[in-house]
Amino acid sequence: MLSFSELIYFIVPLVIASTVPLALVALGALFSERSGVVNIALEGIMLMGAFVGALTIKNLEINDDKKLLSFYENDFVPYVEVYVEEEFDKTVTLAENSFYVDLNLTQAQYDKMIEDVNAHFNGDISDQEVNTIATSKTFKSISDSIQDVKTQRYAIIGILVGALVGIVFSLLHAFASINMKANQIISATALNMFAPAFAIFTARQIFETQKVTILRNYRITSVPLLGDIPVIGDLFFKGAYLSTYLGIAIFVIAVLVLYKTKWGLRLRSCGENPQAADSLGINIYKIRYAGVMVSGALAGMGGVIFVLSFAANFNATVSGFGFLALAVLIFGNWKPGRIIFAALFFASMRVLGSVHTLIPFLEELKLQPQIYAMIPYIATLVVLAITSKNSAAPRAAGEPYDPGKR
Amino acid sequence: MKKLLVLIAAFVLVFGLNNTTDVLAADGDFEIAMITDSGTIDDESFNQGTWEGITEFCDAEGLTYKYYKPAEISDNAYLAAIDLAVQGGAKVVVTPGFLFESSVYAAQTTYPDVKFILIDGVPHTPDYATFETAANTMPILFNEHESGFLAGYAAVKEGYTSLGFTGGMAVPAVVKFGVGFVAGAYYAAEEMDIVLDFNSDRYTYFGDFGPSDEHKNLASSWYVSGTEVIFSAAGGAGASVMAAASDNSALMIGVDIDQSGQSATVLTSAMKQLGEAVKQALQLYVDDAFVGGTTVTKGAVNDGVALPMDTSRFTTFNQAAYDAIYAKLVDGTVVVPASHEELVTFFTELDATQYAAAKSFMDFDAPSADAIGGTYTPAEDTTEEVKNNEVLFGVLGVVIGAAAGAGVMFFMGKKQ
Repeated sequence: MLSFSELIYFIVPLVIASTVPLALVALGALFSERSGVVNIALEGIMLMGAFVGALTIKNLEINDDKKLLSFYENDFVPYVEVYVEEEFDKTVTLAENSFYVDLNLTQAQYDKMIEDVNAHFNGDISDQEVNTIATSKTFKSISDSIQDVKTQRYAIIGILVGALVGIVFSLLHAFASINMKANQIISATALNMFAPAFAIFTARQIFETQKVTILRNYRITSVPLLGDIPVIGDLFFKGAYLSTYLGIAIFVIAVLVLYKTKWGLRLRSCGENPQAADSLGINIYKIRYAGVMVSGALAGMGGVIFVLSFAANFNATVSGFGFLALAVLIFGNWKPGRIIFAALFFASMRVLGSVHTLIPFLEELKLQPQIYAMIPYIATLVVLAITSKNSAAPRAAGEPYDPGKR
Repeated sequence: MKKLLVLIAAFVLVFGLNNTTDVLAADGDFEIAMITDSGTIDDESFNQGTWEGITEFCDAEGLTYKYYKPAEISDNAYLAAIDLAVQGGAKVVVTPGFLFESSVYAAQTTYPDVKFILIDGVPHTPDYATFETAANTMPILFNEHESGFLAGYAAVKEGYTSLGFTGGMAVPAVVKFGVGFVAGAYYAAEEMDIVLDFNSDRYTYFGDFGPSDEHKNLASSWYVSGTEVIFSAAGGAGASVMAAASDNSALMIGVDIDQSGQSATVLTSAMKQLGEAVKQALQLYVDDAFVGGTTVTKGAVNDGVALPMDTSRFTTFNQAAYDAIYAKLVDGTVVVPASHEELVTFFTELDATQYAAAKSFMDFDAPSADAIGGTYTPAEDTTEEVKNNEVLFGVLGVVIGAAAGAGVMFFMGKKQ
C-alpha cells in the first residue's frame, strides 16, 4: 500500500495529464461558440489532428532510428563488445534483435562501464543514449534501446502539425456554417463521422494497418532543476509530459487574447449580437472564421496530446474526449476560469474511477468504477438545471449570420 | 478552370480508388471467402491472423480468395455478406469470431454445398436454444487458457512475482486467457516455492477493447503499487497498458499475435496460431478430406498455442524451460483450467501455501466462460448484504455527484 504522499504524487500528475487535453479542447469550443458558431465537430477534429500528428511523429522517429541504428551498429556495438571482453572477460553479442543479454555484472562494474563508454563517445552521443542500451546490468536489444531515446522536439512538431491539420479540417465546418449558412449541427456531425473513416482508410493505405504506432515514450521523468523542488517538484514536475506545459501556456495565452485584446472583444461580440457588431464595422465572417480556426487548432493539438499521453499508438479513436470537452464547456458556463475548474473535476473523476483501489477509504466502499464515471455527468445535469436561467451561453451561437435581421 | 478541376478530381478518384480495389477487380469466382467481424483484416489480431493464413495458403495452392466486410455488426449483415460470398463463387467461407455463431447456424443449412470454417465459436440459434453443427461446418476453438497458462508460467519463472491481468470484455476467449494466466502463474510459483503477489484485485475487465486514459491510469495505478507485469488480453486497449508500462519502466504481456514490435515493454505474447489453424483446415478442403459436424480444438496438442520465444524479452526463462512446460501441456500432466469453476478446482490441487495465497480468486465472482454471447454477465452476488451495499453506495455516488454540482454552482455563483 502506498503512503499518503506517494499517493498524492501519483494521482496529481495523472489528473493534470487528463485535464490538459480536456481544457484545451473545451477552450477551442469556447472560441468557436463565442464567435457564434456551434462546433460539435471537436471529436472529429481531434481525431484528424491526432492522426496526422501521430503520423508525423512516427515518420520523424523512423528517420531518426535509421541514423541511430547505423551509429549503434557501426560504432557503438563493436566498441562495447570489445570493451566487455577486455574488461570483464565475458562475451556479449549485441544484435538488433538479441533480446536482453544478462552479464551478471556488479553495480560497481556496471557503473564503471557506463562511465568508460560515455567517456569514449563523449561528444558523439548524449549520456542518455548510452544508458539506454545497458540498463540494470542487462543489455537490451538495439531496436528496443532506440525506443528509449527521448526527443521532445518531435512531440512539439507533432503537436504543431496537429494544430495545422485541425485548422484546415475545421475550415470545412466554417465554410458550411458561415458562408453556406448550413445547419451547424449537421455539418459538424458529418465531420465527426468522416474523420475516423478517413483516418482508418489513409492509415491502411500507408501502413496496411489502421494503427499508427509511436514507439518512443515522450514522458519527462523529471524536469531538470524544477523537479528537485520538494513537494511542488514531485507534484508538477515529475512524470509529466512536455505537452502538458505547452498546453498550459497555450491556455493562458488564449485567455489573454480573448479578454485583453480588441480582437477578443470583437470575437465575443459576434457571438452575442452580430448585427450590432456589424453596424460598428466588424467583419462578422472574418471573425467567425477565425473563431472556428482557433477551435480547430486547439482541438487538433488536444488530439495529439491525447495520443502522446494515453496510448502508445493512434487507433482511430480519442475515446470521446471531444464530446467530453463540450460537456466541460457547458459545465464551465462558457468561461475559461470555470472551464479549468470543470476540466479538473472531470479529469479527477476519470482518474479516481481508475485508481480508486489504491485509495484506502474508497477501496473499502467497493464501488463499481462506473459510478465514478457517472458523477461528472450528473453534476453537469444539476448545473444545467440550476443555471439555465443565467446561462452564459452566447446568444447568437448556432445561428447563421443574417445581416437583414435586426 | 472549373472543368480542369473536375477532371483532376475525377482522375484522383479513379486512380486513388484503383489501389484498394485490386482484390475486387480480378475476374472470375473466388473460391475461398472470408467475412470480417467487427474488426478489419488488419486489426493486428484475429481477423488479420486468419486473413494472413488464407492468403499464404491460397497463394501457395493457386486458389482464388477474397474477403467481404459486412455493412454492420448484426446477424442480418453477416448473412448478407455470406450470401454475397456464395454468389461470388465461394466454396469455403471462413468466419473468424464468435459473433458469427448464429449467422453460420442459419447459413449452413441454406448453403449445404458450401463449407464453413467458424473460428472461436460453435453454431447455434440466436437464443442459445439449439446448438447444431452441420456436416459442412467446421468450428475451430482455441485453448486460450493454455496460451495464458504459458504466459503466466513464463512470467513467474522469469522472476516476476507481482502480476496483473486486464481483459477487454468478459467474452469466452478473454476469460479463458485470464483464468489460464492465473493458473500458470500459481503453477510456476508452486514449482519455485515462492508466494506470489497476485490476487483478484489485480484481475479486471476494462469493458471495452479501445485505448483510453482510464485504462492507462488503471494500469499505472497497479504498476506504482508494485505490479511488475500485466497481461493484457484487451485488443487495442493493450496500447494503453503498454503506455502505462513504458511510463513506469515496467512490462506487459501481449495477446493473440506476437506484439513484441509494438513496444519495448512487451515481455512476451500469449499467441493463438490462427493462420496455422486456417491453413490446416483449408488443406483438408483441398485434399477433399474436409470433416464437418464436430468442433476442432486447437491447443498445445496440435500446436494451436505458443509464446514467440525468439522475440520475447526473457533473460532467464529459456527455450528448454519453455519446451519442458509445453510438453507437460501436450501429454496432459498439466490440465489447464478453462473456467473460473475449474480454476477453483485447480487451486485445490496446489500445496497449502499456494492455496492460501490464491484464496481471493476463489471468492472472486469472475464471470464464467459459459457466458457465451459477448456481454459481461457477472455471476450472482453470494450475499444479499453485498448487493444492498452496492445499491446504497450507487445512490450515494449519485448524491455526491449532485452535491458536488450544487456546491460548484454555489461557490461560483458567489464569486460573480
